[in-house]
Amino acid sequence: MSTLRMSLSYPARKRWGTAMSAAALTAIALVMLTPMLWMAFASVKLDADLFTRTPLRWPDELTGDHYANLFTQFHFGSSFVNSLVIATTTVLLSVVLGGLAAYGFARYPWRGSGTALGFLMVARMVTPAALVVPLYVIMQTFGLLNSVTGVIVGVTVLNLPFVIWILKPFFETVPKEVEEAAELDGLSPFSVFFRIVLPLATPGIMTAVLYSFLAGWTDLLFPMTFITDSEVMPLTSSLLQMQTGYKIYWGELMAGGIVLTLPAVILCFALQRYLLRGLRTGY
Amino acid sequence: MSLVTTSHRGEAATASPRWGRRQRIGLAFTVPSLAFVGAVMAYPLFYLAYLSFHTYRPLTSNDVTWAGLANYLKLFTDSAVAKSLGVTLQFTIASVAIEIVVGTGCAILLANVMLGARGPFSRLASRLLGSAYIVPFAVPAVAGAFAWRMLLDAQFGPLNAALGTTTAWLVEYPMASIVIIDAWKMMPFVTFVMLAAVMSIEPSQYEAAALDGAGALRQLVSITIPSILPIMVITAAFRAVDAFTKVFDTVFATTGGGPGDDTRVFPLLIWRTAFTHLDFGAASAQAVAALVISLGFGAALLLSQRRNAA
Repeated sequence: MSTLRMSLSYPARKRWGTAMSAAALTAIALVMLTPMLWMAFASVKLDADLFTRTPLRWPDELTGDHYANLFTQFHFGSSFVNSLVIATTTVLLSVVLGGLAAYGFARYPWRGSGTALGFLMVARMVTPAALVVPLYVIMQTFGLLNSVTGVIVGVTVLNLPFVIWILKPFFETVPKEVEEAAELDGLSPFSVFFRIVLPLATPGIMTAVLYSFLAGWTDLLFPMTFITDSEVMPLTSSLLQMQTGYKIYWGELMAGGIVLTLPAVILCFALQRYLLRGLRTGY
Repeated sequence: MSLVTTSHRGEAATASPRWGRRQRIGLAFTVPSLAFVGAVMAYPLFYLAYLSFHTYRPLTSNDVTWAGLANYLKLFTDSAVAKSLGVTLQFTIASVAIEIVVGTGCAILLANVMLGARGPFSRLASRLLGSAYIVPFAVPAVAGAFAWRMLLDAQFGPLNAALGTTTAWLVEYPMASIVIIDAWKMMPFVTFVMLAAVMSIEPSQYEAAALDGAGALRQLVSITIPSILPIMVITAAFRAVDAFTKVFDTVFATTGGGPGDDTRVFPLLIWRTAFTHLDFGAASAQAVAALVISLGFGAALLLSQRRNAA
């Protein structure tokens, strides 16, 4: 093999290297995709084909029953709505509060704003499981257990520092002259922010929207701790309901996993550019 | 700093040098967030510290009674705490090591393919390939955990069927299982961060090395790795803080911390102490310990990064 490579010209060797890399990457990509593909496959199998020692055999018949059961037996309709409510409210709160703060930190530093920013950054590293303990007692006092409000508040406070961190560099790149001109025209700083700066920072806002939505959509800790009423549960904690003490509803669990996953994956692909940007600037 | 005396009264009426118009605008922009974080994070954390010095067991009594240092002493006498810290450390080191090594390897290969791709077809193929790596990152952790549980199932799982075995992976190799599941989930993150680093290396460096007769391996060791090493170290450190503080969903939905307490990572221990054993005092002391560890490490990390940047 090595003699073959040595005998090739430089561009040919490079092409050969590219092809080998592509082959290795394809193999790893297949491994990465296997768990979710298998979940999708298992979700449409009949129970008889699911609970068999020959799971690799292609079944004679596929079924949508597990998906139907989700909505008839496992209140997935209301769970889906609850998940949407939690995710969209998290987006709104995080982007409005975080956007304002990021702009303030970027453009109008005040005495102590550096320290405040430092604390917000450290707040990103708070263990969610540590926060959920006192928050549970507080939510209980305010009667906010078994409501999506408690979940939204918990998810948002953990997400907010991240949003500020992502947005601040975007606002710093908006040319100062634009804002100064607008202020000379008599716009207040807040109208400058909402009418001029925000549209210019759309890529940053999209990144913040995507990550905030994912934070709300995928969170398990807060709903599983705060919510016991199945009508109020989002999809994540509803999934846990499918393993009871004596039985695991595997078919429904797989179908529910797909229902929970699809919106997140579709959104990530649609906003792939922003996803990658967030990975680079957010950490 | 020397003109401090006029501060408090002058600030609302006239624009004092310390609290000028711009500073007050800045405050107005940032106060909503700070108030929110103060109310929903800072206040609860103070309350957590308060609870850690008290006994609160809602199952037996609704009273919160003074407990002194009892909950903190329990951190040292309760063997579950030491065991859990050890388990979490093991998990963190193993999963971050795999993510960094394999993730960086994939990034280098991916950069190779993307730079080498010629023509619309191969460019599309390389984009599709890159996209496949996003999927685990986009998958909600609970859903991924249940997918893996099916994959690894002793009786009905495809892995055992393919290998011709009936191994209960999550029982016999619980730590290896959760490490692999977490690595699967978080490796894409490392890959894409490192891909940006690899892509930013000047191509001329490779061309010069190639002219000097350096092979692929030589180029990797003397150009690629040294260029991306600083970002690799920072990424590993941030991933480690993240893994240590946030591992929960994956473990809860697969091994549940078991068998026994072999995979009861620290966040799970806190949660179980509070919401399964309903001992909020002990859970609060554990939570304080977790915060001291993660915030201490995190603050040190941010400071060292700032010093490097300056």
